[in-house]
Amino acid sequence: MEFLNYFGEVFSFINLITLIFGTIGGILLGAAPGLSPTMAVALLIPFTFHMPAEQGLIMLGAVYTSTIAGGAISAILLKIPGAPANIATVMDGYPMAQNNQSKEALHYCFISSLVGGVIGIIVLIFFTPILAKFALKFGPSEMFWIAILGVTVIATFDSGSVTKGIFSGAFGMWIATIGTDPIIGVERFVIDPIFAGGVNIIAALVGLFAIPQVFSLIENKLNESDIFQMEKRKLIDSIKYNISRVKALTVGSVIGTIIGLIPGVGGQIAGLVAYDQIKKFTPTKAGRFGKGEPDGIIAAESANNAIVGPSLVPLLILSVPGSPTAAVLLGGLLIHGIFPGPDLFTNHPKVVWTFIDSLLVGQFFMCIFGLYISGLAKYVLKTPVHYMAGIIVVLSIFGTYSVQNSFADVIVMLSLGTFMFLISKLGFSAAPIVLGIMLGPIAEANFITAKLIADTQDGILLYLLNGPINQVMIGLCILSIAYGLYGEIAKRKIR
Amino acid sequence: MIKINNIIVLITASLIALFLFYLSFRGGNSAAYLLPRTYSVILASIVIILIFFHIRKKNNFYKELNLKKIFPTIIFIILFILYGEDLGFYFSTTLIFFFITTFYSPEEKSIKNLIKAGIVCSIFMCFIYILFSLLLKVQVPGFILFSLANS
Repeated sequence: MEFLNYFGEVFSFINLITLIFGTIGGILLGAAPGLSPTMAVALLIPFTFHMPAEQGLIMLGAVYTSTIAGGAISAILLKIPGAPANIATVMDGYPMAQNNQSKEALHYCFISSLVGGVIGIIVLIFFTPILAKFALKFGPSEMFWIAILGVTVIATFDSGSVTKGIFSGAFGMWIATIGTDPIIGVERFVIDPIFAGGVNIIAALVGLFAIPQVFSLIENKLNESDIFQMEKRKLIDSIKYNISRVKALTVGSVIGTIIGLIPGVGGQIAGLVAYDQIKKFTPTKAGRFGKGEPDGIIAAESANNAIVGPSLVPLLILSVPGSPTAAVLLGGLLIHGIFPGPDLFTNHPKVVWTFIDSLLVGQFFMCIFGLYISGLAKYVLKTPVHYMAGIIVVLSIFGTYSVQNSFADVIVMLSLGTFMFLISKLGFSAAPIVLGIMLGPIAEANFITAKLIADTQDGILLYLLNGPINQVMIGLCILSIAYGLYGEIAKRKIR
Repeated sequence: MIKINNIIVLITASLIALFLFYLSFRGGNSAAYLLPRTYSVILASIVIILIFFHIRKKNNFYKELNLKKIFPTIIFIILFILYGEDLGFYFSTTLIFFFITTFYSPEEKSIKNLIKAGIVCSIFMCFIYILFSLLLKVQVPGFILFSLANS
């Protein structure tokens, strides 16, 4: 029950204000079509660099949670999911809005998100310390394989193609080797002295996630359809009905929690699986799904918010993010000098527990503010996309520069971003590259340590392959690649 | 509009893999270059797999790139990389913001709309100035605009 000791920290004036601003800002960012939670968190990281660690993480956590819930606003009112996690919400949310029930749909969305989110955070609170105790058995070889597993899993699940995903991951890990070698001190691929310290994580994060979004916004005009007017609906009626939908809430929350614990699987999978399952669990309503059935929204929204907490369990202990947004959050931890690992709760208990507690409190704020500002969010929905694109470019430039007052970081950010947009057109994905850049140094440091130990024993190959944990990790790497390849081949056969 | 098919994917992936392979194996100290070399071999192997998939004609990737539409922004980004520091951040980013909001606006390019974009641009850049220069105390390259405030 250590988490209770740090609850007071969340309610300190500055942390509370940060949480409130992060939540409101996250809901509005989420409501803006085309701005994904991953991009929102990436764009915010440079700003949190100037804050104390707890405050910065509270801000990032609040934005992560609330952008997913906020994304339902545009899904319901515009038929455009604000985030990939809201794809399933469109299916019944938009028909409800067409049936003059938009306010009711938004109520269900935020109440269900609260239920799913709280269950997910409780899993995070109780699972993480257990996993941490287990992870204390990990040595350099296990940590090396964990880093490889992190990249492999994200590469397999977050890409349309496994081969391209692994290519992106290996490319990211290669980028991470730019700079001075950590043991021998040799400079590698340093074309200019500014790269002696390697590629700055924040510049890479902002570039890889924000700049391609700008190009996408200006390349594809989003539909500018009419926004539905809100009907009169009592909140208490929505709460009563929502709580009575126990089956939909349970299916959504349980599926979201389980999927969140699997590294690399995003909220969109959770939402779609929960939507599919609630259809199967309620055969009597089968014909009503897709035509404005509240259970569809309740299951999808409770699932996509339930993944937030569990997706952080493997991230905090093993550096393996549960979702692409969690991968970006890893960057937020690293810039504050917090390295995820088994001893995280021993070395930084205040920072980590305050962050987790803030996620729990943030769920309630997300619901309260979401219910009240969802009406105002229609103005955000009307923001023209070309203004949005301009705002992202300027914030990216200033945000990246502000981290180390380095113009070279801005050049890296813009170059990597433009390059990413072009290769995204070839089917390559940003998340594995980012994870490669972040986990590359962890893999290299542990590989070198393992090599030094192994040189006195049977050699590096046997050292890396021996031991049950190593073998499980290698097995999981192979399994995730094989599963991805199987899915890819099956997809091609269907075509 | 450029139509991207699997051949373009293969050529790009091969060029990236070859370039990184060359850089990795050109280095002197073998111990420091062990991991970059391993990664470049993985990249080269994946290219071979991609070629294998393509030969078996099972990979029918197809996408479109509207280069004409994004080309002006790429030019602005290159100009910013070359001259952004000399021109100062506030001046050069104001130009970028104004360009994006006017060039990509679906509205008619009238004087009224240009003034509207100019007002939005000024308000937003004032917000950026307050946030970065006054609140976060970030010393950005100033040029003429705001150079006094930064000094």
